Parts: sequence; C-alpha cells; structure tokens
Amino acid sequence: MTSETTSLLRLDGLGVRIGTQDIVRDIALTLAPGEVLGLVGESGSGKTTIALALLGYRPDGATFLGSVELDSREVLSLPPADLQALRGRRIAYVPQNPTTALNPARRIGALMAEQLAVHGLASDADSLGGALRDVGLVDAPRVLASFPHQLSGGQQQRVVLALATLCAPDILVLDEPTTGLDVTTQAIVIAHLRRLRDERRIAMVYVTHDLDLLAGIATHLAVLYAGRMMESGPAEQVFSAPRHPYTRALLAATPSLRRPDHRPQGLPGTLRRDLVGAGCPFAARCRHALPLCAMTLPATAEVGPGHLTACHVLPADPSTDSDASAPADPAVPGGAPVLIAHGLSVTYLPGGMIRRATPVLALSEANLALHRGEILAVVGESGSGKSTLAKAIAGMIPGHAGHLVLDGAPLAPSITNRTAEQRRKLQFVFQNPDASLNPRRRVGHILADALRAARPSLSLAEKNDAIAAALAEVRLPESHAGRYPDQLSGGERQRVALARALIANPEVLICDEVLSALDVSVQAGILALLAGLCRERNLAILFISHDLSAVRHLAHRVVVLYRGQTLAALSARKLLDSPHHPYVFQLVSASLGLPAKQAAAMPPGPGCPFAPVCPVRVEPKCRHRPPPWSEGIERLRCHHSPDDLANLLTLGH
Amino acid sequence: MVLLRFILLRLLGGIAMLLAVSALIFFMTEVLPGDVATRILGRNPDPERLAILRATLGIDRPLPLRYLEWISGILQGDFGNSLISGQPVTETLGRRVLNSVLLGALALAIYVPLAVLPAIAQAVNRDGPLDQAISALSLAILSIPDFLLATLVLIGFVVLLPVAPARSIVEASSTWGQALHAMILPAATIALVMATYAMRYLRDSLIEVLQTDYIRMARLNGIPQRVLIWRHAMPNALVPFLNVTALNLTYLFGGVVVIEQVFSFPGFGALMVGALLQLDVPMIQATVLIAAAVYILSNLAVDLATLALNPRLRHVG
Repeated sequence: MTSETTSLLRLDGLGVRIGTQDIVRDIALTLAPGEVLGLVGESGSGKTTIALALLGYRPDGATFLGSVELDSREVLSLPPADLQALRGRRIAYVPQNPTTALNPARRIGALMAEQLAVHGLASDADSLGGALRDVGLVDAPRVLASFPHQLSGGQQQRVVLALATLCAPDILVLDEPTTGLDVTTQAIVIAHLRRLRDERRIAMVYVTHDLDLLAGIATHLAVLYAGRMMESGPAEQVFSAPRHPYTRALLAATPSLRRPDHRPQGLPGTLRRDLVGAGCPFAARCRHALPLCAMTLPATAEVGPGHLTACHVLPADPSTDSDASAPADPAVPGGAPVLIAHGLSVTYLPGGMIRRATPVLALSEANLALHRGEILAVVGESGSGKSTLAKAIAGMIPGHAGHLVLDGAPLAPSITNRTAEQRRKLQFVFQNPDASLNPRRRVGHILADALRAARPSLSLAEKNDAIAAALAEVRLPESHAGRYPDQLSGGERQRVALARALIANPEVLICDEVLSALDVSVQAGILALLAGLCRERNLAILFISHDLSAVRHLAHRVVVLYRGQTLAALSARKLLDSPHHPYVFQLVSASLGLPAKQAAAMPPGPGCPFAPVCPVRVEPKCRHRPPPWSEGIERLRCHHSPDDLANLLTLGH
Repeated sequence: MVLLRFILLRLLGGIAMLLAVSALIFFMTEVLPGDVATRILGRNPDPERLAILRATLGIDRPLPLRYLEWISGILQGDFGNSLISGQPVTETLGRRVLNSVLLGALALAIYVPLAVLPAIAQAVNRDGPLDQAISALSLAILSIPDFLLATLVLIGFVVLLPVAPARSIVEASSTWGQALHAMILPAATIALVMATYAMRYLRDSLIEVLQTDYIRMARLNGIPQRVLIWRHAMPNALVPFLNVTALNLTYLFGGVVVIEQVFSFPGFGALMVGALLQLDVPMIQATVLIAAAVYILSNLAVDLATLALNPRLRHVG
C-alpha cells in the first residue's frame, strides 16, 4: 500500500494453518504511520486470525507460514519474552467487548500502573490521569480507583483504549472495538481513534464486519473471504469503485443512513469452509461465477493505483449486481391496534451479595399501540429500558405497573396468568439464538415442541406439514429439521428461532435485538424476511433495536426511549428529517458518523432525563420540570417547540 | 460500613443457626430409645433404682427446661460431665480441640501450595504431558481410601525412610518443635487428600479464566506470564477453590478420624466417634455443636474471602 521504505509493518505470504486446513493463506499487506487498514469479512473470513498474527499470537495447534515484519524484525519467530516486550509497547491490542476485556478483580489504576511497569516505564498519578483525560475521561481520580463494573460500557472501552495506548505504541490492532456499544458511544470512540490517527500518527488495523463504520475512519481496506484476500486498496477507491463481486455484495448488504434509499440485500448462502475448493473460495456464492472460477485460483491484479483484486471475472458495471430499488413508502396501517400498552412501568431491585434496597426505575409510563401489518421499532441505548419493555409485554416481568391489551382483551402481567390463546398470539424471538435454542434438540423437535404448546389439537401429519411450512417460510430447506442447532450457521439458527415463533401462528411478534448477534451479510436476509412476514401475514412486529439504519429500513414507526422514559414517537421515514428531539438528533448524527455536540454532563434532576447531557438544554427548566408532549403525528417530549428544535439542530453542522 | 453490617448480620445468622442446631442435637439425643439411666443400669433394671437414678441425674424433669439449663451451662463454658469418665466434658474437649486446631493449621499450610502449584502447572500446560500426569496421579490418590493412604504414608516415612515417629502423640509438655514433628505425617496425609480434590477444581477454573477476554487482552498487551497468572488469573479463579476449601475445613476438623486412628493422634474426630460409640450423650452434644460452629465459621470466612476477591459483589447496584 505504501512504499517499503516508510512502512512500519509488512506482511508477506502470511498463512495460519491448523492441521491440514489453511485458516488464512497468502496475505500480503503493508502499513505505514497514520494509516488505518480496515480488515473486513463475514464470520469465518479469518480477519481476527490475521489481526492476532500481527501480535505474534498463534491459535492453539496452529503453525505460521510467511512473515510479519515490524521494523524489518520478524515477529512470528520471536521468543516469548521478546514477544511480550513488543506487545503493548510497539503494537497494542484493543479487543471487542470492553465489559469482558477488563479484569473484574483489578482496579483501573492498578491495571494501568502495571501496564507501564511491565514495560519498564515509570508511572505516576499525573501520567495515568493524563492518559485518561486523553480519551475523554475527565474524572480521572474516580476512574483510577474504580473496578471495571463501576464504569459504563463506553467508559470501559475508553479505559481499554487508554490502556492500549499508554506505552505509546506505533500500531494499534482493533478487534471490533465498537461492536456492542451504543451508537453515541461508538461515535465518540471513532472520533478518538481519528484523533490518534491524525495527531499521533498511530497506525491501526481495524477488524470489523461493518463496512459503514469503516467509511468514517479507514484509509485502506482489505476484504477477506475464507482466509484469502479478495480485494485491497485505498478506502476511497474500494468504496467508490469496488471490483470484486464479494466486496460489492458486502456493500449491498450493509444498511446505512448515509444511503437512505438503499435497501440492504442479503448475500445468498453462508461462508462454508468445507465447500471451498481449489478455485476462488467465493465461487460457490458468486452470481458472476464462471466454470473456471471453481477450478483455478484467480491471480491478484492491480485495477487501480494500489488497488488489488483477485477475480477471474471482474464484472465492470456495478449496477448489474443489485436489483435494489427504493422501497415504496409503506403506509402506516390504521384500524384498531392489536396490542396496546398503557402506562407501563417497571422497577427493579438491584441484586448483589450485600444488598441495599434502592429501587431502579427501568421503565417509566411507556405507552404504545401496535397495529396489524405494522412494524413498530423501539430504539435506545443500553439502559434505555427497551428490552425491559419487550419482556414486560411478553409476560416475563410479572411485577410491572400499567395495562396491556391484546386483541381487545386485557393481558395479565405474568405469562402464567395468560390464556393459552393469548400465549399463542404473542410470540417472542430472543437476541441470541445460540442461547435460546436447546443444543440437544433437533430443529424438528424444537419446532414440534412449540407446536404442541400452541396448537395441541393437530394430527401427526398436520404437525409435520406445519413444521415443513414453517421452515419454508423462513427460507430453510426441510432437511434442516433433522439437524442440531450447532450444525447451523448463526443466521440459520436465528431463522429457526423465528420459525419457532411463527409456527404458533401469532398475531404479534416481539423481536428483541434479533440482528445484533449476526453478520451484516446475514442481517439483511433477516430484515427482508421480517418485512415480508409483516406484509404477507399481516403480522404486527415489535422490533427492539439499537441499530438506527436497520430500523429506518424496516419499521413503520419508531418509539425512542432514554433511561426508561419515552422521548419521541415518530414515523421511521421521518428519522432523518427535522424537527428532531435533541436525543434523536444525537442518535442519528452518531449513526451517520458525524461528530456529536457534547454538553458538559450535569447531575440528573426530576425533569427531562436527557437534560443532563443535552446540548440545547435550558436551565433550570429542563432538568427540573418534566417536558410536555408536542401535538401532531410526530410526537416529541421536549421543552423546546418543534419549530425551535428545527432551528437549533440541523444535520450536517 | 456496609461490609461491617454484612459481617454482623452473618454472625447473628450463624448464632441463630447454632441455636437451631443445638436444639436439634439436644432433642435428638434425648429421644433416643432408652434414656441415660437405662443405659447405665443395663437391661431389665429395677424400676425403683431407675427412678432414683433419674432423679439424681435430673432427667425426670421436662425436656424444654433441661434444654434451657444445658444451653445456659454452655454459655458459661460448661458442657456437663462425661457419662463415661465423670470428668467435665470441657476438660477433655479443650485439649482435643487444641490438638485438632494445630493439626488443621499445619495441614492447611501444606494444603494450599500442594493444591495451587500443581493446578497452575496443569492449567498452563493444558492437555500436555505434565497436565495428564498430574491428573492421573491425583485421580489415583483420590481413589485410594483414606486409611490405606495413611498407611502407605506410614510405611513410606516411618518404616522405609524413618523420618517421623509412628505415633503422633502430642502432650501438654511437648515443645512446638516436638509437636510439629509429631504432627507432620498426619497433617501431610490430610493435606494430600484435600489438595487432590481442590486441585482439580482450581485447574478447571484457572483454564476457564485463562481463556477469558481480559487475560487475552493483558497477554496481547505484553503482560508477562508470571504476572498474568498470579495477579490477573488467580484472583478470579480462586472462588470455586475457596468453596471446596470450606467443605475441606469441616472434613479437616471432624472427619479425619480414620487418619487420626492410623497415626494414633489424639484429635477431635476420635473423641467424637468414641463418644458416639459409648453413647456418651453430653460429649456427643458438645462435639457435634463444635463441628457445626466450625462449619458455620468456615463458610463465613469463605464468603468474606469471596467478597475480597470479587469486587462486583461488594458494591450495590
């Protein structure tokens, strides 16, 4: 990517082999100061394996091939002690999930002092505090004395960043560093990374499956499939003129608020390493594949300055790839709502070995009405109460206050007090299909169990038909009934979870973050499936999500929660248009990768929950008086009038 | 201060539990078929003599009243007199409890490194030859009954390689050195039995912790192996080990009678079993109550250690 003289890191023919299988093969890359290389691909593409190989990390039982040179020094053959001296000092690592990346038994200050000490650097309270202030953690003394669980997810990720950059490394290896963070926190982390790139000229290798995110930070891209490089080059070129069919398919699958009219297109099939033959690994799923593709490996060719790709076909016109067209603006259905929640409030008592009873209001006076054929999205960051709302409606939180009405009849708070018919009408799909499907039951049995509970009167033949129909409805082959969940891919498992809910023939489907455990390429398929179900079955769907781009593409209406309070209820099409609630505005700009205006945090009061961090708050009114609801279809709860808000907040500024 | 309140509450709970246990012991030993008087006078006693003896022993009075007397006696350090020797229970008990506490402390001091060091060696060399060898050895030790293991130790270190005395007799006149010398073999045997068990737990939890994200993050940011194991992994891996240790402590105090027998050690376990065999009711009541107290206290100690290791449990919310 850059001339050899300026490069810090050089990969040549890098391969990682376990037994006779090549996890990664023949990777050549260079990295220079100030460059951010995005490593992209689906699960199983080998992107994390490559990133970890840069740190000399070898998976159990694996052997390295080729070379990784840091300053012309071979990393792969370094003895353990030299490797530990290099790691953290010259090349540091930022892992995916900040909540599990910090040792729960150690104070932040101790971790940071130790990081300096093991690399022979002196530490004092000033330097540690300075490192924390660098990542935007102002209250350094408190953070240093804290245990990880006393910090929020965003603070934890900033601590992880501060730890990784503490010894001033030249290279950062980032493994999905913002997956699992709220969009707002994600935007802050990305902004900080950009500063590190531009001001300190730190080079980065950024592993992610989210292309939309890389657009805001990467200078170079490398697209991987089944351990092989498909396409690489300057980010701008790869984004604007992608040449490999796989790159194009990934881009087509990525929902983005930047491209409001782009409808995400799922990739057919999944990455199956056992199906990769002697030819191009992507051949089996490629719509342009020729007979040649499956037989011989394409050579890497330069298609632009520094822009390399390995494809026999190199389809020229990207427009033939996509049959995407802007979807018709869906009409919001009318009629009597099938599900009504009125004044729903949930209070938790925090647990712990030493208990002090201070109840936490997780959800306050939430109202919603869901119609047949409507997809209602509930968005908010973690702690907003969106999952609490879903669980309360599903009957998993018996102690809630307020009323629920399903199909005109009152719905008991606890699922045990609901009728079998009510249980059948209201179905729930969990976030993580790995955990929600019993690993010891075959798919057919899982579906049969659900069927027995929902429609006990069916005959055996009718049951088998229903199972086959349910599998067909979620686009899975009937033969999958004989498989165990671990024999399926993540996307297939989530389809089984959907089929289990659909087989009950529900009126209302609650989907709690059903996309977040899935690859982007798979997400698009599930999104299309949900949209189809809503249309064809006239199903009402409550879609809980933190992903605004997905919500924008799928939902009719959106309810926005913040710290348990409802702040806005608007049509999904209006998400990008003014007037905005200041919080919605912040969410949208964060999703667009725009720097959000930050207000100095203040202690919360009895008024608007967003006021303590709101950039346009009016003191003392906002923090002390609950805001009123605005009139009209697009309803906001703010002390500013919608017209004022339109003037105060403008996208792009 | 929340912590102080927690300890206080747990101690109060422990006292309540001890009271419940004491009532249970008292009434159970009292409802045993035949009372003390019949046991002393043997089969077919003369009813008149029986009545007189009952009056002398005071067991003709109502049960709850006698329970209250018993409890208030205990609170003043009086467990009554042994039915067999006629001596105050406290006198016999005191020496034996001290012996067992010393033996237990020594065993514990051997137990901790004996469990921790091999477990670390195993976890670091997971599935390697060393791990498998230690696993096989610990399984072998676990499957040997206590008395046989004690006998093997006896044969090994007294007969073949005479480094320790055959009879681990500790007397009031023994110096610390003599007592230590006398106790080393039974202590080592007990420690071995407990450690093999705890080691397997610690190995598994260490392996689990070594696979966590925070260990990987620390390793990939240059933390050396030694620091990684002791400062990063151990605090998180110790909790299951502590729970096993709590169970071991109770075993250590009352359940090691077989090992005490083999080494002729005058410990608490032997006293308890002797009392049971001879139906020495006051002695049974006293020993069982003490064993229960040890159990409750060791669990409290483990909970406090768990709190110290897991800050998440210390904070509310």
